[in-house]
Amino acid sequence: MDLNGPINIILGLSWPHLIFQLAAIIFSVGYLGYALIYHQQLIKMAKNTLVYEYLLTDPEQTQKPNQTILHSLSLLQLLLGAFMLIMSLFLLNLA
Amino acid sequence: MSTTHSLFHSFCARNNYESEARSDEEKALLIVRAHPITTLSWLLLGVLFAFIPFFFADFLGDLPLKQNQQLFIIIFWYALIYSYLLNKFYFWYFNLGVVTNQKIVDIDANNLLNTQTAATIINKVEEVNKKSLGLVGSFFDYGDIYVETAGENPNVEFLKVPHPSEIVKIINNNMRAHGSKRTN
Repeated sequence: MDLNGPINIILGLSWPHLIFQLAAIIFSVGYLGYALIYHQQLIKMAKNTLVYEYLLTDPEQTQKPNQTILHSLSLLQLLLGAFMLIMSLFLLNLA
Repeated sequence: MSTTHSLFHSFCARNNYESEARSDEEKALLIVRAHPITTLSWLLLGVLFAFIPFFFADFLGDLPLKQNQQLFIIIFWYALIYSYLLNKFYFWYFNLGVVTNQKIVDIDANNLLNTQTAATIINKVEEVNKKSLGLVGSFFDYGDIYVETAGENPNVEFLKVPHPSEIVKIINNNMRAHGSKRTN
């Protein structure tokens, strides 16, 4: 059995860069997971808060409490996580 | 407008709270969050952290890393700062104190997955105390409010909230409207 092929591949690997890429993937996945939990909890808490906000404002007032900025910021966090994951998967091993 | 929103929505009160306290329908008289000045510590920390890569740029350049790897480290660092600030904002925004004409609610977001809500009906309120928080608290007019309840009902706390005297006034008026026992 000729093992030269696989051995050559292993020897040819740039280990520090591979380890860096693995760490980057793990951190990116962790960050994305955190961003997902954050967004989910944000939606839940925003609904709870909205109940009290509506109890405060009179029915004739159509002014809606502004939570869209918070949602957008949370979506940006998700986007950042996704971007870092893509970067760690595809970009880091490029020269 | 029948409601006043001040200090970045940290103090939202109904202007006609005296008459609304007697309403049969449940209406919120007051929604409070911590005073915005209390957020200054983590805001400044975030800004401080944002400058760290500038000081370590040379060190990062000396490491045996490719340019895109260095770029990843910097992006990840700023993503962490962004999440830190967003997380702190979440806790500030969702740590609410609510006074309705029927009950007092304290919502504490301890961490992302753990939220604690304590509520008491107005008739069960025994005492309302306020605590000033030193020089800064006096200057910016914020303090702690402790609502003590009868029996095994949970005590309600509004911490570092703006205009504590005004809050005590609203709760006292609410208690008077419901014929509660004692007010301080």
